Amino acid sequence: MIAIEQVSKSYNGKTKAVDGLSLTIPNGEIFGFLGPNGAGKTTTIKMITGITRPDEGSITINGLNIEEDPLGAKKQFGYVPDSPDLFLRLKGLEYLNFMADLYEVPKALRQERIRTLAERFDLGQALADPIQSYSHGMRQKIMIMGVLIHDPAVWILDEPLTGLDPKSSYTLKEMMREHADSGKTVFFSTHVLEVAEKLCDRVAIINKGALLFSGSFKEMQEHFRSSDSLERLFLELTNHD
Amino acid sequence: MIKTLVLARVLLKNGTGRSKKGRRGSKLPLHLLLPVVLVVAFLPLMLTISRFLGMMYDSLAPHGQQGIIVGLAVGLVSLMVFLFGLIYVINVFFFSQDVEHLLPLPLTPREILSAKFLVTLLYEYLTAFLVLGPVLITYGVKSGGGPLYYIYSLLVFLLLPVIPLVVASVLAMIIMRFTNMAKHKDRYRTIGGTLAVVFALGANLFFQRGARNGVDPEQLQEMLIAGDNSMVRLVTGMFPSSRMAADALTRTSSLGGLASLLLFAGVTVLLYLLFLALGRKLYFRSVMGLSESSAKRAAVTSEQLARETAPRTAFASYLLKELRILFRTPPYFLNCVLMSVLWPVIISIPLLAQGGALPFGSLSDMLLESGAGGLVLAGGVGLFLFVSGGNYTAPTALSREGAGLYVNKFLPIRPRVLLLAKLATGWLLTMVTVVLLLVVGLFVLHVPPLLLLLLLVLGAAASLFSCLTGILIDLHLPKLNWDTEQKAVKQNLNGLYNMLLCILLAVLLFFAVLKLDIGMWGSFGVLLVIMLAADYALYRVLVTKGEEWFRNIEQ
Ligand SMILES: Nc1ncnc2c1ncn2[C@@H]1O[C@H](COP(=O)(O)OP(=O)(O)OP(=O)(O)O)[C@@H](O)[C@H]1O
Ligand SMILES: [Mg+2]
Repeated sequence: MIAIEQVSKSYNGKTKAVDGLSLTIPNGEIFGFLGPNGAGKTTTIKMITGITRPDEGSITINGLNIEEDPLGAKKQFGYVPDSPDLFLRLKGLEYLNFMADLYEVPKALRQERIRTLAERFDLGQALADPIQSYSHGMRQKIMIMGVLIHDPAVWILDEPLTGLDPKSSYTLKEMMREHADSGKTVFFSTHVLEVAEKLCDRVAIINKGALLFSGSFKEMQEHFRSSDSLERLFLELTNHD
Repeated sequence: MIKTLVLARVLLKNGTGRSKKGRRGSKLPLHLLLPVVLVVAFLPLMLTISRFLGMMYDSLAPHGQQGIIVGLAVGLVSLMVFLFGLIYVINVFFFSQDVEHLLPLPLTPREILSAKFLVTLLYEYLTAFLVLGPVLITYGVKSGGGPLYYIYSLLVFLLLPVIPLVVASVLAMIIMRFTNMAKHKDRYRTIGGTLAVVFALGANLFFQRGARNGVDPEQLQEMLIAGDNSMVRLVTGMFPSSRMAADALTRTSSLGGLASLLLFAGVTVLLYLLFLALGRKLYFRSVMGLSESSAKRAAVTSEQLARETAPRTAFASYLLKELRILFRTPPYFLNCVLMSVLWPVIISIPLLAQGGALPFGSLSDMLLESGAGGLVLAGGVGLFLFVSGGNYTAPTALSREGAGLYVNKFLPIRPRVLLLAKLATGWLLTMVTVVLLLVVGLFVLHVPPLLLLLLLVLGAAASLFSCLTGILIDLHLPKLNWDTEQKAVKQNLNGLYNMLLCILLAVLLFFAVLKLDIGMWGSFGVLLVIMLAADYALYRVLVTKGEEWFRNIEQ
C-alpha cells in the first residue's frame, strides 16, 4: 500500500509540479496513474521512490515513511524509471547481479529468478552482452527484470509499456495481474487509455499537479452519468480550462 | 560552400562540448584560448626540437645538405598527420554522435564530408604546428630566408596535412566499410587513445634524449648522407608529394621552387576531389552500417550463471560497478585509469633520458646522513599529493553518473556506503600511482628501502586525502548535465580545483617540515599526524554532511 498525504512539490520555487496531492494506492489492485504531459506523474513517482523530496506532505510505503526510514521503505518497492538507458556499460547479467546484491537476494534465489524472468521476457540470449547493445524494448525489459529480482511487494512503473513488443507487453500485464491478485500493489503511469481501461482496477487522473479523479472506471462512469470510454472521459476532464 | 562552413562550425562546437545555452561570457575566450594553452603546454617540447634542429643544421650546412632537415620534417609531419588522422577520422567521421542526426538532414554527402574533413584538418593543424612550426622557423632563421620563404612556409603548412589526411580518410572509410571494427567502438577508442598518448610520450623521450646527448656531426652525416639516404627516403617516400613541398621550401628564390609549389597545390586539390568522389560512394554506406556495439547473443550457461551471481556486500558490489564502468568507458579509462599509470612514466622519462645512471642512490643516502631525510619525505608527500590530486577519478565520481544519478537515490543503499565505495575506487587508482612511483624510486633512483616504506605509509594517507577532497568538491559542484561521457571528465573543473587544493597542502607541508627541521623521524611523525588528522576530519564530514549534500543534489 502506498499512502500519499497532502504532498506538494515545486521546481525552482516557481512551477508547482504537484499541488496538495493525496492518494491511497491499496493492496491487491492495479492502480493506473493518468494525466496529460507535464501533469506531474513522474514527479509524484520520484517523490514516492525517494528521488526527490516533497516540499510538504508525507509518503509511506507499506507503512514505512520514505523520508524517515528510506532504506526500509526502498526495500518495499521495485521501481522502473521512464528512461531505460541506464547501466549501459554493464552486461545484462552483471546489472542483475548488482541489483540482487543491493537488495540482498540469496544466491540460489537470484539464479532461480534470473532464469525464470529471462525466460518470460525472452532475454536469455542477451544476458552476456552489454546493455548498450540492447534495443529500447530490451533495455526496458532488463530494467524490469532488475527490479523484480527481489520480488518487491509494491511495483512502481513509470510508463512501462512504451516500447515493449506485443508479447512482452502481454507478459508484463499478465505479471502485473498476478502480482495484484496475490494481494500486493501495482502502481503505474501510462498514456495508453485502452490499456488502463482494461487492466486497472482503479485509476487516478491528475492535471497540473492536482488530483481530478480517483476511483474505478465504473465509479467514473457513474460519476459523470455517461457510458463513454475512458478516453472520452479523460479528454473531457483534462480539457476543462 | 556556406552550408559546409556552417556545418563545420557546429561540429567543432559540439566537439568542444559547449552547448548554446552555456555561459555566454566564457564563449569567445575559451574558443581562442585552447590553441594558446596547447602551444604553451607544448612549448618546452617545441623548444627542444628547435634546439635539436639548430644543431643539426650546423652540422649539415658545411656539406650543403641542410635541406634534408626540411625534407625530413615535411615527411615526418605527413606521416604524423596520417597516423593521427586515422584516429581523428574514425572518431570524427564515424564515432561522433552527431552522425545519426546528420543523416536525416537535407545535406549532400559532399557537404557533410567536407565539413567533417575541415574539422579534422583543424585538429591536424594543431598537431602539425608542434613539429613544423619549430622546423620552418629554425630553418628560416638559420638560412636567412626572406619574406618569400615565409609565405611559402605558410602555404606549405596549410596544404601539407591535406594529402595524408585524404589518404587516412579513404583508408578509414574502407576499413569501416569492410570490417566489423565499428562494432567494437569502445575497444577501438580505448586502444587508439592509449596509443596516441604512448606515441606522444615516446616522441618526447626521443627528442629529450637526442637534445641532451648532443648530436655527433660525424654520426649524423653518416646516417643521413653517406648512407643511401634511407631515412629520408623512407619518410618522404610514403608521401611522394611531400618532396615537392620540401623542394619548394628549399628553393624559394628560383623558379623551380615556384613550380614545385604550384605542382604540390595542384596535386593536393586533385586528391581532395578524388576523396570527395570516393567518400560519396563509401562514407554513407559505412556510416549506415554502424551498429552501436558488439553483441554475441549467446545463451548464458549454468556455470556462467553460477559464477557470475556470487553475492557481495553492497559496498563491494558498488565498488565493482564503479571499476567496470571506469575501465569500459573510453573517456573514463583514458582520463582516470590510464592517467594513474602514466604519471609515474611521465616522471621517469626525464630520469631515463639522463641515462638512468645518476648517483641518486648515494644522493639520498647523503640526504639521510645529513639529516635532510625529512625534506625527502616532505618532497615525496608533495609529489604524491600532486599526482593523486591530478587524478580525475574522485573529483568526478558523482559527475560521471550524469543524468542517471537519480538511480542512486531509489536503490536501497545508504548514501554513505555509496560515497565510501566511490572514495575507495578513487583511492585504489591513486594508490596504483603511488606504488608505481615507489617502484621507480626503488629501481631508477635506488632510494633506500626504509625511506620507501615510510613514503608508502605517507603516500597512502596523502592519496586518501586527495580522494576525500575530490569527492567533497564533486558533491558540491557535480557536473551532471552532459551528453557525452567525455564532458563528464575532460570538461570538469572539479579535477583542477582538487589539484590546486592538494598542491596548496603540499606546499604548506613542505615549508612546515623545512621550518621545523626535526630530522627524518620527527618529520615523518608530523607529516603522518597532520595527514591522518585531515583524513579523519574529512572522512567525518563525508559520512555526516556528505550524506546530506548527496540528498540535496536535485536534477
Ligand atoms: N527537473 C525538473 N526541473 C524543473 N521542472 C521540472 C523538472 N521535472 C519536471 N518539471 C516540471 O514539472 C511538471 C511535471 O512534470 P512531470 O515530469 O512530473 O510530468 P509527467 O506527468 O510525468 O509528464 P509526461 O506524461 O510527459 O511524462 C512539468 O511542468 C515539468 O516541466
Ligand atoms: Mg513522466
